[in-house]
Amino acid sequence: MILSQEKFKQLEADNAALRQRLARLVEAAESIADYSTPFEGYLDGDDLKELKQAIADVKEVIST
Amino acid sequence: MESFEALEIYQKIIYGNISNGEFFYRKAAVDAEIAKLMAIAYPDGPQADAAVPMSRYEPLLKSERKLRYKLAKLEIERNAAIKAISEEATKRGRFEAEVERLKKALLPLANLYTEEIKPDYVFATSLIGREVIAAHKALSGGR
Repeated sequence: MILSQEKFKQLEADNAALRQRLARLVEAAESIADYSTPFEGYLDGDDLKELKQAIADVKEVIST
Repeated sequence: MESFEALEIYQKIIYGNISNGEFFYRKAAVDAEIAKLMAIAYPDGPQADAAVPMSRYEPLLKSERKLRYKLAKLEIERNAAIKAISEEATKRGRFEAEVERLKKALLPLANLYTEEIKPDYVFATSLIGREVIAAHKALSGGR
């Protein structure tokens, strides 16, 4: 039981760190997406579309 | 007479598997042994024991119930812990996958602004410029 608790605490700490990392990445990604939106027509392929989709998905994951 | 032997003879008497002569010869000894065994098995007497059958076992049964309850509780806690660990592990896997996905989605545009288009001083010192450069640095460094 002690081992389980330690493992659980470790996982919780890992997840809290990952959640923070994702939040920082989302912030940076949103800045880049916002900055890029006026130039959307000039950008290659679906880079911006994919980025916006990834941001939306990650936000949903973070909120769970 | 050994208790075991007494019981064996008693069993034979009950099942009628003993000769009359032997029965009468040994009856008194067997009865004495049986009385001794009964006294051990039922210290308060068979009737008293029947009247309050649970009283002597109640503390033991109570302890057993307590132990069983504790065991059941521990098992429930153990299962809950396993479930919680498994959920956290799944979450971690999902977070890690999302970090990779976001990095992959972010990198082409971060590269574009920081490497392909050389940022000028105004961009590099602007809020968005600083964020883009910091994001690119984080992505490139794998932090």
